[in-house]
Amino acid sequence: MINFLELFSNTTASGGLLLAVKAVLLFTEALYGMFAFVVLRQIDLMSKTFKTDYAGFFKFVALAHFLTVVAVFLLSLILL
Amino acid sequence: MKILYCSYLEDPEHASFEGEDKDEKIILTVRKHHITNTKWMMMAVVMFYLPTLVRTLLVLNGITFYADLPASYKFISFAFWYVLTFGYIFTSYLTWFYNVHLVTNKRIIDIDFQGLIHRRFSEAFLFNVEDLTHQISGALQILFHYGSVHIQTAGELRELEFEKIPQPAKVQDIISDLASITKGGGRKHND
Repeated sequence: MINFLELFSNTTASGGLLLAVKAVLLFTEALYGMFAFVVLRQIDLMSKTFKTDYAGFFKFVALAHFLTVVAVFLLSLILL
Repeated sequence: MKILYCSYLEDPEHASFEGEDKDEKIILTVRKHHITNTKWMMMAVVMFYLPTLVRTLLVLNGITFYADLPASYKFISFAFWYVLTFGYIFTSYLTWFYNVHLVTNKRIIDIDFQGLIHRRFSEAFLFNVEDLTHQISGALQILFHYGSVHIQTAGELRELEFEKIPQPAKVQDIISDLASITKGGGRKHND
């Protein structure tokens, strides 16, 4: 019986494999980018519902998070 | 600052809510007990160490798939994984922070956010409070002294529930006394 793990053994990173990895990475990053944007919008709603002095800080962190995802996505497009 | 990490806070400073009246004051802010955060915190630790663990397992099993990838692919996948880990920690914390129960001098409010896409804002006026019950059940709740408070009301919303909150007996006492004062009883809770 062929061991499932052996399927990936001794595999050289061929062009097809790299393309598949790239596609998966870009697709996941795009999906996650949308999620990060939803988080950004949701914090707006949350901070209007329950108002504290830290709403600005949360929004800043959410924006930094979203921009980092965008940066990773752009880096993927350039580097991969 | 306390509001950032306290699950039970009396007279919170610089906190208000949507629709708060001018003569209204938040008396109590309650969230789920800290112990309820253990699950996502442990998950975050696992996520943090997962790339190292997976890489080690691949090497030990002689699988060269990951090692054969160019450095740029490894860098991007690592960077993305840690952004994802950070996002998980951040949203889990926000969910805990904004799922809050408020007791004011006029009403009881239950703000509920689920998974960042669902919001529920429930309120009951203190003069409508009819029956209060607190419950501590299970070894973990007894050990860490947390539980639930059920609030029966005469209003449109028949029941409010504060789940897994610290000091449920004290919360029940505070609400009971405030309801009594609102209805003209004038009893005050013991600190």
